[in-house]
Amino acid sequence: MSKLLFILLTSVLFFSSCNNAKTGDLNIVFQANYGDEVLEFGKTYNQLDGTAFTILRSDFFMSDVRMIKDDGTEEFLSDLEQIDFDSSTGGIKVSFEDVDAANYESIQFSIGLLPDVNATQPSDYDAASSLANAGYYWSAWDSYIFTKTEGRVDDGTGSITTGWIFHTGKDELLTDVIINVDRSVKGDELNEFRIVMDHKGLFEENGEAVELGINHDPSNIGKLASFIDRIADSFTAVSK
Amino acid sequence: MKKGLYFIVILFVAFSCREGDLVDTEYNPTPYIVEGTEYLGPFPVPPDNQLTHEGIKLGQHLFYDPILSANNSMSCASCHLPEKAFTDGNAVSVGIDGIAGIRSAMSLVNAAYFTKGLFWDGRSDNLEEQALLPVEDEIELHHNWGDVIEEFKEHPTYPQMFREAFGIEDKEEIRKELAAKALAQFQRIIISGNSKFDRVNNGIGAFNEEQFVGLETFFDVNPLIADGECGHCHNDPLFTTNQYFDNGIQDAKTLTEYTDIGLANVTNRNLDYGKMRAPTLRNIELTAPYMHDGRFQTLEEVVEHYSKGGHATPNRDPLIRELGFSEEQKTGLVAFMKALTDTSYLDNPYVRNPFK
Repeated sequence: MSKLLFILLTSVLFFSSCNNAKTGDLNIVFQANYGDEVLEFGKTYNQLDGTAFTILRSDFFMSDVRMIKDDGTEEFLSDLEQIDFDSSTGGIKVSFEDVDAANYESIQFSIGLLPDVNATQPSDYDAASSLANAGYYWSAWDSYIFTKTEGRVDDGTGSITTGWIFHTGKDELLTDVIINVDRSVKGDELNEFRIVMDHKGLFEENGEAVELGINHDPSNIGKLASFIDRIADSFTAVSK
Repeated sequence: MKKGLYFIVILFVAFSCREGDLVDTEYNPTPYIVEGTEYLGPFPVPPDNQLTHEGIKLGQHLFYDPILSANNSMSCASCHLPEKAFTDGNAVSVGIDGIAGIRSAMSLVNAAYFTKGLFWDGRSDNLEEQALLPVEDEIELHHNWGDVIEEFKEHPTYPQMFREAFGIEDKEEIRKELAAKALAQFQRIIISGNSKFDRVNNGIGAFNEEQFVGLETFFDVNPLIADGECGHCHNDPLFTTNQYFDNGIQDAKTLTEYTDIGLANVTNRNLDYGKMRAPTLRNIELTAPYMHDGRFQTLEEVVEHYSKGGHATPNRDPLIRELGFSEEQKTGLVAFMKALTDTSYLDNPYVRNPFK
């Protein structure tokens, strides 16, 4: 009798634990688009006023990455990630292990670095860290460069040879992002969420073309703030 | 018959128990602590090639020894002279057969920090990998590692030094990979972090007026004068960002017109044509002529190039454009770059030529 009870109990425990796995792995894939197309670095695009331009670089830091469950609780994912689209047309994959199996309403993060991290410098980090890259630190700002978006534009001569850049940084430009996802992470599975960053909107403001020039001047922070706001608005969760 | 059997058994035992020929040499490597990196920060060291006095000493000897070249005429130091911040003063380097290469010898100062590829085109991932290439390059040392290893084995001191550095028990265990590890260790201790720039940063002394104008231009500090945009590719503390750029020096209107495609050699990407590794500007005063092909003789010529913006090449970096420096800014930039000179690494006996 006791043997039968033991077998029954262990069977119940075994099957219940198999059916209610608590965590799963998650890949969040960031994909760079221009409108409905995958963004192609070096390809000629046209602004609203017809100005021809190219995009050659697009990257950003995101801090305090977390997801919000449908019961309102948070699932923390990462302190810091750097998304550098480079030539990866398939998207940039960021992987997280042991994510709570649940329904999620949104992914949230801040574009840039949290103030305590932004108060550090590249030499504070081992060379393997993305924060050790001096190419993303600007001494004149005492800040990391949160986002780099660069390319070339037709300056009216008919050839797309003049450079433009938007580099953002400084604590006051740390910008919150909320992306509605309404997706589930299933236990014991590799799950994937895909986030599209549509670059087209970065070059339009109030229905007009954004002037493309060299923009990394902290004394002109309003222009950079508008740009990073447009980055924050550029994300959408999509199905595969 | 029995005697013959005994003889075979004795021979077998003798050879199977034969100890390596180097076990009498002590293997007790001493960790090496690198100094002068306070401002530069830590650098990556492979777990299987930690710095030791014995490894560095071996690397130092190999670096300065012409044994690595086919005709014993050139060593690594022939193109990387310590007094020229480990460059050679030539526009492009010339190998043992008198054949000129296509690029200038890069400085090895602070090479420990050179992540994201070595060489102008980034074709080696790390110092261990890089150290293997010049020996067999047909226009450099034009030797082959097989013969080099045989020479090491017959050398009066190298087998013991390999033993002391890496614990091999027999000279038959000498491998090119161990030589490369030693050379990498040697290069990792060539540290420069005590220039005037560093001292001023530490509160010791001050820049003169020229240097200060140069600093403001270099780092785009002063909105009232033209930005230099220098720091984007040559940011401190290393004065390189370890990235690759097309700075508009090649007169190429199309991809096919690049005479040296640089990074695209490695990546095969159209967008990488003409991109070269941004070299460190530390000790740039000592490394003329400048650019990957040594086309500029002076820093003044370099500054003039950036002031004018160079050629509108297909991949010219967006920040390279006509900047229009004032004469004061040009003089200031040169003065500031000269404030990055620091040869204190020559005080380290492990860095100097051990054969002199």
